[in-house]
Amino acid sequence: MGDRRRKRLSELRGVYDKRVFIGGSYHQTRRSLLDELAGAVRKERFVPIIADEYRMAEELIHDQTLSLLHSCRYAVFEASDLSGALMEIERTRDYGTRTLILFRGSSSADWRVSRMLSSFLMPGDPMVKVGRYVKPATAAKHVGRWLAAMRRKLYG
Amino acid sequence: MGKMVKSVSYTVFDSGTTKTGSAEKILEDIRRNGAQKNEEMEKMTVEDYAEALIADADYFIPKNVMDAFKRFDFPTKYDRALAYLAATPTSGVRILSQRG
Repeated sequence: MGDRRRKRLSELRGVYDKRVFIGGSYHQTRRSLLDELAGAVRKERFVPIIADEYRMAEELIHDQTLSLLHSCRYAVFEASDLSGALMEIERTRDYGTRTLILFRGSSSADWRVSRMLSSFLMPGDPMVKVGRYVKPATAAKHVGRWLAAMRRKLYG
Repeated sequence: MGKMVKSVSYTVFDSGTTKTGSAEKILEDIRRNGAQKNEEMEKMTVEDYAEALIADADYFIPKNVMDAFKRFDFPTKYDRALAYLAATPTSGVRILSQRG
């Protein structure tokens, strides 16, 4: 995406309760997956926030991305690959962000994460949910179901 | 008379073990093992699994690698699906050798 088409950070759409930060790899191949997840977020009438759609100076990417995360009540991470998203996932607990972590389990292999991240995901933690998928369409369904459950919790 | 399909036998590394056989047999073995931890895989047939691996490969394999793959013919969709799975960095599946 060209810099002129990127949004300004000061023009953040939606309100805190409706924003869903979407993190993962911004590599060309995986980026389309983040768009699929954003579509699922919109379908549930929430507002997706993807960091690379915003104008940021190279040296401020870390700080400004975390600032975007802090502006969202919810976060969805596609974490099949190791990426900068791990730094964001670490912060979700500090920020009180309700988080859904998705990974692709397309073979018999387990999710290959470090023991640091495995121990971060405590069983029964109401703030963090982990979902496994094979088809990207299933990942999008996970997002829809999770946001619907979050809405029910918020509004009863 | 139908076209003869060339039979290829693979030896594949998957999660610490090696498997040998046709692409279809190996994919079914991987799917069955994965199904123990994954409801979505449990509901799939080996054909569904192969078709999903092919249909969604663009999301998981770098574009230049996919462009190269698309120039090749594979004897069956199972052979193509196994090649795509092995080219997916996070799958843990690697083709060690193939004959036929």
